[in-house]
Order: sequence, then structure tokens, then C-alpha cells
Amino acid sequence: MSLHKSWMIGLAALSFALLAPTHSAAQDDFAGFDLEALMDVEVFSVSKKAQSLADSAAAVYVLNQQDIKRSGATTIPELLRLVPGMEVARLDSNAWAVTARGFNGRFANKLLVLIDGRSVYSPLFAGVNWDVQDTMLEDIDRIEVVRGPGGTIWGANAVNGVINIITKSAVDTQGTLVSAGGGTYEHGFVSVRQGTKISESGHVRVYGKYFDRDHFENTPSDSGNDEWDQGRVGFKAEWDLDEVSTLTIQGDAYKGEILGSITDPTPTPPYSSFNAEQQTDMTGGNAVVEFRRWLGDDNVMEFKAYFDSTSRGDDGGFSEKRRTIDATFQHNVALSDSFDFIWGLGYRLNSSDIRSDFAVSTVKPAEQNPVYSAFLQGQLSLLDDKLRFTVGSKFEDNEFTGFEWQPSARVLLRPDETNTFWGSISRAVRTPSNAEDSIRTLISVVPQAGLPLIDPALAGLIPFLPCATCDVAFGFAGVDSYESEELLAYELGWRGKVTDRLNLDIAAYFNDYDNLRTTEVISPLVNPTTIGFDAANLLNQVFLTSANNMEGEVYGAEIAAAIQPTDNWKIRSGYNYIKLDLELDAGVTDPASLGFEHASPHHQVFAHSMVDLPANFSLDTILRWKDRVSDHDVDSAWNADVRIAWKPLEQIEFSLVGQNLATPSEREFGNNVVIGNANTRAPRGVYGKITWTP
Amino acid sequence: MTHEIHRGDRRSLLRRLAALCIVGGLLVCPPAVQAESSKEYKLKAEFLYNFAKFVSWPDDALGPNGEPIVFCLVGDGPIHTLLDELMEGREVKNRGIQVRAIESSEFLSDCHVLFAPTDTDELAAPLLESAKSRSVLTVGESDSFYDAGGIIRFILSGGRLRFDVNAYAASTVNLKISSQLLKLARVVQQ
Repeated sequence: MSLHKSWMIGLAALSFALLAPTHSAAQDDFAGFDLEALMDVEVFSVSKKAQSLADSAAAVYVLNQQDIKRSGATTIPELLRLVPGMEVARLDSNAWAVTARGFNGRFANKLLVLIDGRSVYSPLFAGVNWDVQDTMLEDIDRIEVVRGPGGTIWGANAVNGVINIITKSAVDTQGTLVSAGGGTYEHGFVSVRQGTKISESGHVRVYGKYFDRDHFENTPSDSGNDEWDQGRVGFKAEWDLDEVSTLTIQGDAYKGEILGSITDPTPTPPYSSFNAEQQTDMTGGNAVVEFRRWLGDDNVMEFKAYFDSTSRGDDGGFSEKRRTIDATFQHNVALSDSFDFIWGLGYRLNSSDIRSDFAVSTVKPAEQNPVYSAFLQGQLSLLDDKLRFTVGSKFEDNEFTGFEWQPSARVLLRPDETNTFWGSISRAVRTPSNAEDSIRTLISVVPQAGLPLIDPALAGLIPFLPCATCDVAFGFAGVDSYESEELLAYELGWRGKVTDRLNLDIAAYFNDYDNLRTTEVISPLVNPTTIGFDAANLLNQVFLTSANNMEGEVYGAEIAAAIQPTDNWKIRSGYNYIKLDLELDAGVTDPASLGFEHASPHHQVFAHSMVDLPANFSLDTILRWKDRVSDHDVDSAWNADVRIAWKPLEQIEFSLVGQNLATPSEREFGNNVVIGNANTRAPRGVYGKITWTP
Repeated sequence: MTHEIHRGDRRSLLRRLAALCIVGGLLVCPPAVQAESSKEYKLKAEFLYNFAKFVSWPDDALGPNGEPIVFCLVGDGPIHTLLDELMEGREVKNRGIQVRAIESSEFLSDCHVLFAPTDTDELAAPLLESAKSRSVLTVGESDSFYDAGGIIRFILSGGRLRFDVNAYAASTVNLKISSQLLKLARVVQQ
């Protein structure tokens, strides 16, 4: 399994996890590999030592296709519940909050997510729109999760973690695969993939999928009105141009809609309207080109470019059209037997087109934000590769904060075949989003007397409001003075084989944050040009704005255990602990931002048991528990998923999955006042599925 | 042959690399590009072992039960040691595996698999001719070996190891190649 080059010489970089051979092996030992596995081995290894997961000086965890399939999960964020240390909370039927190591939220802004090297981190609100991050789950090769900073390779916003979703190569997805099913919450879904040879050295696959999902519950008898559906098509084509060059072209396109219950502010009394079924339409697509050429053993260069277009908009209201162009070059070379070097250059252009409405508006409706980057990293191997040092940095220039650098130093010690120790010090930054820079979000319109109830500090503003008798429009406003959030992270880890049937992986971290975001009162704003604010009775406008006046110390530990009690029974389990200690700068009051101290479950644990039964049956059970989250008023809770599958023939599999089986199911997260969204509760769900590979 | 888009063996690649290093300047050149990486041949050895699993020999070709399957290597050298080590203790079709280095046709009668590394082309040519009248799975690396009637050829493609199969050549010597193997081949010549 392969994060081999991963960190070190590179998680092979800038989205190039494809550098990772699917099957790497210590000491080039390929015994026991079948032909298909052998065909996956790179003859020109990226490093002369075939590196594996056990070689990464970072907290790395990999979900492979078997874990994915056997979990019964139908979405990528639900799969991430099976990664130790990940915080996953479902807000409603179509929204999630996902992060690692704290600061979770619908727009959790410290986790970078890439699909086949394409960043899906949105610079609008800084976060990931999980509702449109999907692919054919059967064609995912693995999901590599790095907890902790990855800025040295991946750049800005890889602060608390990086998730790489890597799909299989076209060669490995030849032939037909059809899966379809449905049930209670999963109304119906179908996926079709066809892979074929297109030339003597070229392969392609095309796929299409569609799903229709039910709503969650507001109360046991009340619908959450948050059902959704989505269709998606895509392809991946690969050519071996000659012995040492490959070309990959891939792309996807999707279209879908989600519903949600939203309370929006309005320009006229009573200043708010409840829309029980607000519809949001999403469309998007991307195209990726990648060229790799081996210049010899341990010497590979790679060029990659992609175009990504996403568009989402509320019916008649706020909408965003975003186009991203990204191009990177990377060169990976062994300068001597003991020194590997990697360097790269990158350019990205984010362009956005925003249509404002009364609640969400921008002073920069058409934006173009370029980012230039370069990185270099060296790795020195000593003592017969038992000791390894890696030092490197990314250098970036962005429009909001200018120059940023994100260095890291890592050391890995492998005294014997069963133990690996590692440690690291790294710096990472989270750069401002368009929202923090220039977007205004109106939360509500309140009477003047209501202001102190929102924040006592607001009482002092009342005498300065321009209209003594008017109500007050209250919200957030972006300002260009907002700076990057900074992290200096210290990590230590050990992984090892305790017995033939028990593997452990333990990581501990101390994160020292500075310039964390606070939301603070700025002086009353009067800006009649802002959309909707020309109504005379809304002359009073009070905005909170983003500032960098909090620092924090976060520490925690994560344990992953892989247990094999018998030959046909495997358990993968995880536990994590986290404690956040945040402090506002002198004179700043911002109870909301301090709330992150108790917005993560302090303890989480899960176990995924996989049993192979006789007669080609298999049984999977997932148990998970989360500690209470007091800031969101969420109690500690158990939950469980069960999957039973039967494979009467090599070509056919039937499975039955029960999801969220614990009762009563509760909300996992507090409501989001900013977007006026009420979170809902997951119902129990059952679905059946048939998978056919003729 | 029209299907060959991958002309040139590993050596010409190395020459091109050397030229690139001299002319290129931009890119850092590897300190030493070794002609025979042991990783590459370890991989090829594993492929050979797997090929044997998916090929059926006629009954009379394999000798009595308990007799080993014999992998013959054209020429001698480090690859011999490597093959010896990798095959030790392994079984194919419930038979042990023996590795031998041969240089002339007289010992060919014992061989079930014949592997000719690139640099043994001259030595291999007469062996290949003799092998055409026996049920021997001939595996080579060079175009000349394959063009002269070898059954399987290794191809380095996109940094990974692939292989072509001449199914017609196999059938003329009564070797049956399983469809599983043919499915994974890059090009199958019927």
C-alpha cells in the first residue's frame, strides 16, 4: 500500500499521488504478488527503496477498495468516519462537517481535499462542498489521509490534514461493472462503468452514476426537507507513449440539486422568511491532463494541468460560478544513493462570478486570484536507510496575503523491520477566502435592544447608530486586512507490528496556532450601495468582521489498530483524543470563536469488523462512538452500520446494508446561524444492492 | 510487424538517456543508470513464475510426477543467482522448480521455460530455433527474439512491465496459454 514516496520525497507531490505505485514492497520482494499486482509495480521506482506506508514520517492512514466496499457507505464523507482521528458530522441529508484535529464546521477550512490530484477546496468560503465530491466508489483505488500539516508539498490550507482520493488506473478497470440498488433513505442508485482498450498501448474507462436520496428528519414526524439527487459521468484514459512515458486524460461532469430549510433575512418587515424547501442547483465539470516521463531509475518528471468549473446557486438568489486553472511541474531525482531531491513549480488561477442577493453579497462580483508556487524538498538516508531526514518548503504568492512559506523537517527511524518511529516540525498556513476578503453575509435584522443579546460588546455601538428609531441589520463583512492563520505543528509517531495479528499506529501532536480567525465588531457601517440596503428603515448596519486575534494550543493523539483475530476475521479500529486551548488577544471579546474549544468530540472511537463467512457470505459491522460536543449541544452517542453480502458467483454480489442503526438518532452538529440552516437527524436506513461484473 | 509501436530495447533507451543528459543540461542526470536493475529482473522472475502457472504443457512434456519444472536461462550471470534464490522452495503444478543456465541446444531437451535476457541475443538465436520443435515456453526481451518466433516478450511500457504473447507460436508447439494470461497481455498475436 503506498504512501511510499508520500511525504518524504513526496506524497509525491502537488497532487501527484499517482506517483505512488499501488503495490510497493520492502526490499523489492514481490513474492506472492499475482500478475495483475506485478503489472502495477513501477520498474523505475520513484525512490530506489520501494517505500511503503510504514515509511512515512507522518500520520498517514489508507482506506483501500476493500474497506470502501465493505463499509456499505455510499458517500465519501461517510467513508471518512473509518479513518482514525477524522471528525465527521452529518449536518443534514446533503451536508457534512469534516476535518481532522479540530476546528470543524460546514466550511471546515483547515483540511485540503484532492481527487486524483485536483483540489476541491473552495476558495469562496474556504472549505469543501462535500455534496458534489463524488465518483464511482467501485473505481476508487484508495483514499489516503494525512493528518497534520501537508503545506510543504500541498501548499496553503493543508493545515490540519490532506485527503487524497485516488481512482484506479484505466488498465485496472477494464470490462463492465454495473451496480444498482435502493432502499429507505437511499431511494435508488445506479452506477455503470465500461473499460476498454483503445489502442495497443491505451486504455479508457467511462462511467455514469445517479442517486436519489431521501430527506432526514427534523423531528421524528417532521421531514427535514433536505432530499437530493445527482447524476455524474466521467472518463479516464491512459496511454503508454513509449517505454518511459505515460499520458493520462480524465474528466467528470455532474448535475444535481439539493433541498434545504433555510431562514433568510429579507429587506422588509418582518425581516425574515422561512423557506422550507429552498432549492440549490449544482453543476460542474473538470478535465485533467497528466504527462509523466521517467528519465531513468529514480528520476521522473511530471507535468499536470487541469481545468475545473463549478457552479451552484439558490433558486433566484445567491450563486457562484467558479473556474480554476491549475498547472504544475515536478521533478523527482536521486542525486546520489542516499540523497533524493524533489522540486516543482505551480500556477493556479481562481476566477469567480458571484450573483449577490439580499442575504449574501459581494463588493467584488468578478474576481481573479492567481497563486504562484514553488517547492523543493530533499531527503537524506543514512545507516542503510534506517534513518532518514527530510527537509523542504513550499513558497507561495497569493493576492490576499502575498508571500507565504511552509517549511517542514521530518525524521524517520526504523531500527528493525517491525518498528518505525518518526517525528516532525512543520509550518502551515490557511490563506483568506473570498468570503473573509470581500463577502457580506446578513444574518438577521434585529431591534436595537436585541444587539447586546448577540454580543454584550455590541451594546456600546447603539449610541452611534445613524438612525435612532430603526432596526439593525446584523451580519458578517469581509475585509482585506484579514491575514493568514498560521500553525507550527510538532508531531511524534510510532507504528509497528506487535504480533502477527496486531498492527498499531500511534501519532501524537502539539499544534501551536497563531493569528486564528476571530469575528469582531467593526464600527457601524452605512453602505447604501450594498444590495437591498437602500431601504430607509435599514440604515443601521452592524457587521462583525474577520480578524486574526486568537491563538491556540491543540494537542491530541490518534491510535489505529489493525487486528486479525482469525484468518477470516479482520478488524480495523481507531481512537482519538483532542484538547483545544484557545486564547483571545487582550481586549478582544469573541465567545463564538472560543467555542471551538468544545466543538470537537474530545474522544472518538470506532471499529470495523470484517468477517468472511462460509458459502461466500461476508459480514461487516461498524460501531462508532463520539464524545459529547458541548458547543453544539450534542450528547455523546453510539451508532452502528451493518452489511451482509453474498457472492454466489464470481460475477455477482448481493448486499444488504443497514445504516445509522442506533436509536434514537440525534443531530450531530449545531445549527449554522450564518446561513440560517437548521440541521436534521439521520433516520435509520436500509438498502439492498446488486453488483454485476460480467 | 505493425503492432509494434515500442521499438528499441532497454539499451537504446539508455543511449537516449545519455544523449539527453549531455544535450539537455536542464535536468539533473542520474549519477549512474544501471543497465540491469536487480528490481527489474526480480520482477521479471516473478512474471516467469506466473507465466508457468497459466501455461499447460502436453502430458509427455513434463515427465513423471514429482519431476521438477525446469526454467532455463540463456547465458549465466547475476540473473542466475537471482532466479535460483527466488524459485527456491516454490512449486508450479505441484512440481518443484529447477533453474539452469544453458548455452547450447544440447541441454534444451530438459527445459520447459526458456528465458533469454536482452544481452544474450546471439546465444539465444540457435536455442530458439531448436525450441520450435519442442514444448518450450520461450520468453525474451528483444524485438529480434520475438520476431524470430519467441512466444512471450517483455515490454517496458510507461515505467511498468508488460508483455506480448504470440499465441500462434505457442499453439504450434502444443502449449496452451490460459485466457487469464492472454487477457493481461498487451498485444496477442493469433
